[in-house]
Amino acid sequence: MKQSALLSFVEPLLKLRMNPSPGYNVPPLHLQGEKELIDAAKKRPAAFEPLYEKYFDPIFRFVYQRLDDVDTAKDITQQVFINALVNIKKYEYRGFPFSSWLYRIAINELNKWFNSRKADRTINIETEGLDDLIDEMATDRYEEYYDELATALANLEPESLLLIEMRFFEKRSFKEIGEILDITENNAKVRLYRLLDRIKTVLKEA
Amino acid sequence: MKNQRIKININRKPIEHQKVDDNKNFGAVMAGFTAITLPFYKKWWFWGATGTAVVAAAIIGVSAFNYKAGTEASASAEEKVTQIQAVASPAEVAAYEPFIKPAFKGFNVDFETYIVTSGQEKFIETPGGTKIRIPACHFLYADGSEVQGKVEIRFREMKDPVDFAVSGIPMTYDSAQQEYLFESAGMCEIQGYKNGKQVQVNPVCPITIEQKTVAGSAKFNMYYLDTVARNWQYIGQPVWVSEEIEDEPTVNHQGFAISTTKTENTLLNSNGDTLAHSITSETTSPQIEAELKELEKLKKNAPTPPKQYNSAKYNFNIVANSNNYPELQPFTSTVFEVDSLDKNFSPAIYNYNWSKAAIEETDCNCGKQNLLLSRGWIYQPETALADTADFAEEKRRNVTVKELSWWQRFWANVRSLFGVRAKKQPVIKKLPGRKNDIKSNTFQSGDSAIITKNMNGVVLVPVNPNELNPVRKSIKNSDFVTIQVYPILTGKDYDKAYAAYTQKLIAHNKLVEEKIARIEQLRKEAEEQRKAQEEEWNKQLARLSTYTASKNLSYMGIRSAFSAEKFGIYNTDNPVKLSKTNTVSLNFTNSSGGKQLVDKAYLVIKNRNALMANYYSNCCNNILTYGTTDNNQLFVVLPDDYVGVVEQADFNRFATNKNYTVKLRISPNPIKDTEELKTFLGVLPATETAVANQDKEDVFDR
Repeated sequence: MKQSALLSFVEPLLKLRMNPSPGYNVPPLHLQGEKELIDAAKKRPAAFEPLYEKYFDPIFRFVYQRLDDVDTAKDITQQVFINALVNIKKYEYRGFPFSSWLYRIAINELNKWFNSRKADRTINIETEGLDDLIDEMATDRYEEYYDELATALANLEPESLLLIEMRFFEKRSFKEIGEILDITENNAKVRLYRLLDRIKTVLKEA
Repeated sequence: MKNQRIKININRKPIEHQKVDDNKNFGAVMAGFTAITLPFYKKWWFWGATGTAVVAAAIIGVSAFNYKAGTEASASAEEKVTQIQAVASPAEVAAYEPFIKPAFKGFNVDFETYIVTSGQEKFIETPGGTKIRIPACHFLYADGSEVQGKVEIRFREMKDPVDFAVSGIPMTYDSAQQEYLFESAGMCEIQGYKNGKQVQVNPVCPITIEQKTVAGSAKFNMYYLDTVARNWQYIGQPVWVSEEIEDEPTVNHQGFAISTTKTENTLLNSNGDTLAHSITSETTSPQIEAELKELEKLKKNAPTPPKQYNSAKYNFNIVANSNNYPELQPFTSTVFEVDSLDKNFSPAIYNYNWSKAAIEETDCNCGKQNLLLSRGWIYQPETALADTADFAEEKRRNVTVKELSWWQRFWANVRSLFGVRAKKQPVIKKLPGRKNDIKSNTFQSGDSAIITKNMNGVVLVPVNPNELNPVRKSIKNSDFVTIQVYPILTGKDYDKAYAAYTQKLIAHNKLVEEKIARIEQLRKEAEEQRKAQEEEWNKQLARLSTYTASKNLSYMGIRSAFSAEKFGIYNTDNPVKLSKTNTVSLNFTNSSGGKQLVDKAYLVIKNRNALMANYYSNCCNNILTYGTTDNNQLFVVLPDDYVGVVEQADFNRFATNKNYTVKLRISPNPIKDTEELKTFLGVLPATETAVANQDKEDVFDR
């Protein structure tokens, strides 16, 4: 009896070990409909429209945040979705929302435009976001840092600037930043705090 | 960042949601995608370059060929409508574009939602007055399994051009690659959902829908929108059902009545037939059909011209003993010409004697005759062949077909050339009867034989004829030959015959013309009768609605009843083509005169309850085709759901194929819903239009 009781306890655990949860590779509920849409778009390009409708707004804003011109933002956003549609057959679901893939395409597309000098890189700073940034750097001298901070941001590498923008001016979570940059949430945190330390040093020197 | 220009904005005004939405253009994405993915020969630059090269070559060629004409043509070139070069061909882009394109982002024609139980019968009456019967059958999932429990039925109706535009459902019909415009009596969409998942109707038990329509006439058909094939499917004619009226109206007008005592409250004619069925869409009648048949017969009996001698063809005489062959006597002087299409003819027929020959008319009524030749013997199975008198008689009879001799041909040619009447007819030679051609003892009573019925009776053919009859080998297949021939004439005989033929032809043509005039008259009368019937139908409908209006009831028009075997969009329509059209190129300006770009424009054809959607490219020179005899209104959807209108007055000033800049009357505020749009456009709800159009005094006599 003791043996059978032990088996009845252990067996489910063994099964669990051998067969991991069937939902392991299944997208979470809020993304399930999205996966169906992506599958449909892979088969028929016209079926991409619901995805376009869903993500046009965030992608457009993401692009426009880095530009000074609505028309250019429109052109780049259109190119982002054309690229997405052309390459959608290559897209594989890895547990991240489809938007993170679109953001990565948007970043590449923006870089192309900046490198070809068809558009000027713009940093759109909100003072509220700047305050948050200063808070993070643990200082209370707000206004006098604005100019220096802006200059410091302008001198950052594109990747670093992107990190600052997403965290402080677009108020994105570290999870989301990680998804967009294809890094872990922790890595996003580590990168940001290292970057803040660097900026702090620059400001002190100034 | 060293090589990059950086601009810093502090506290830039956030972009509005609507402004972001204005930049949406999925069509442009699809066009870009198509351009990238197309093979080179389908890309715009390939065709652009090829087209340019061809045009350039053509221009150079034409200029070189016709230098003087060039200067005059260029003067008016600016006025011509210019086409916009597309990135991909319109058909290719259209193939990817969404089929249903709602006009507005902010609103659509709303669905009414009803909860029914799968497997239980349910009657639904919508606020619009449409009646839906859900049968006691289970709905089905896509895999064919039955749906259990509650099912959500969503239903919406589109009755006027504004509804059509707002819903974005296409209102054109492609039949055999001919595009028609839908003149609609009403459209509806019905869908079924279980837990948000679409379910299907069990096709064995279709849903019955009686849709309240804005018009009722036999000219309307039912169509189902096939969203996969991207076209409307004709599914038949609706059954027209009138509104239930509590008290029986005692309406009688020129033999028509609306009866509520008859089944289904259907509109009936004086014979008790459903009126919709009694009105024919074609102007025909049994009398017209009979006249048409007579006309066909008359045309078939048209006189045929006489044939003249042609030496290039096979010609021959029939030579026979007139005592033995009295039936051939009329043909002894006739020259026959073999029909050039006749495959049975072989010159070998000249070489043999035939026991039978006969001439018979063919069915073609073209002067062609059949010459039947045979080498058989009449067979009397009861008696021995050699002993019968008939056999002896037949054996005695011989006939030959004689080719024209060289001098006969020469003389015929001379007569054809100079019209000289021959003093002598072609010689008819009496040929000696062939003896022992086939021995009589070959056929014995009881021998195997095939009995074939031919021209003059039963004919016996030996089973192995090749052994018995050497002729068979040379005359293709048979002892029986039918040759198609024309009797021909020469010289003045021909002239005389031709003159007679001309007289006959004139008389014949007169008869045909009279017959055609008679048919036209009958058609005219039938058309008048049909129009009168249709007018009567419409009057009855107007009376019905006036009556119901006078009873302070909601509009009670006619209903289009049909069975829905599938969920989807159903339309009661009459496909029409605009008879007189004009095409212009339009550029739009706003109230301050600034250029207004447009991507969606809707032509409302008020007198037809029809809509023509035009999708432009936010650019210039927008092509518009419209009916010049119609009551038109064009409205365009602008960013932020503002609407601009071009009225009939503008249409009146448009000349053919010209460019115009049109000032839009723009709505003061964004349009928020369908009713607001109807008010702005001055489009009465369809039901009110119907009531407004009727004669107020023309009400039921009670």
